[in-house]
Amino acid sequence: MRNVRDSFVHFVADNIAQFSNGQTIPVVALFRSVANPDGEKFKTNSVNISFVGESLSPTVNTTIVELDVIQSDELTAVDWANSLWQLLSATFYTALKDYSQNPSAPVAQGTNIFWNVNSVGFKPIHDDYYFRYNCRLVLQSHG
Amino acid sequence: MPNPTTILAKLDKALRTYAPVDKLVYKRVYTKTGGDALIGRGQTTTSTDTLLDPQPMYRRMTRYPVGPSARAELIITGGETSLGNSFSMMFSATAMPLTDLENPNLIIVFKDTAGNEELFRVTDFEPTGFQGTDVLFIAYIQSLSGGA
Repeated sequence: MRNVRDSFVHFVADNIAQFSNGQTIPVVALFRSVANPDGEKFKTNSVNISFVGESLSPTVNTTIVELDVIQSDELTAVDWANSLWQLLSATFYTALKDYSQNPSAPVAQGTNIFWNVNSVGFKPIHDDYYFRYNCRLVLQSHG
Repeated sequence: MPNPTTILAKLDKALRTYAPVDKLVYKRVYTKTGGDALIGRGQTTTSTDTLLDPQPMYRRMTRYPVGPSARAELIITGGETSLGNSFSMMFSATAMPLTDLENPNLIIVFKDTAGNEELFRVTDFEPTGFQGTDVLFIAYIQSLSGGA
């Protein structure tokens, strides 16, 4: 499960610049940790990636991921969502890698993580303080 | 004529005199080096505890002090509470300046004489200042570890 998380987060963070039209788009992964007290809180002016569900199987594992574009400027959020769409539709899979031993040299596991390109959509969620676009995706990987 | 410095000195003196001491309150700052911060892999985490001086005053949320002692607390009937312990704390700006409260790597630690610890996250805070200088902060903290 954790390899799926790590691989997808890096897929987005490492490749979004190719589709950002020169903009810097910070990508953060949200997770709770005592040593990272605010780790699960949304970061503003960033693309936030959080994992909200796992379903394990001997054949195909399912992981639900949420991508939240949190921006103080709605039009910038539209640009960033478009960059994400271009990234997620340029391909429909990424390699599953193991980052546990050496995060700077992950080991390919010989399988991929897949998502349905037709499911990539961005839904605005109202907030009084910032603009938020939410995209929920189902990732599938070999069990 | 009062000024922020004299007010802060009086506040510190009052806190040192009256603040409860059954659990000492520390601020803990985590420092992470190496590894991959994006996915939380391979990082070395160290922490530094600093005893707050003066100690803050605090009370458990959804309770209110009754009787002659501030520690004689009573749960409010029908009161609502979040999971885990929540406290309202009054920090002197001497012990807990704004930069500490804003530090995302800082937590609050209660320690008792038996060596038990309870960890808290600062969820919100309000400053009280005088002539543009912060004198005290009322902060709301919530337990990360459960239990008391």
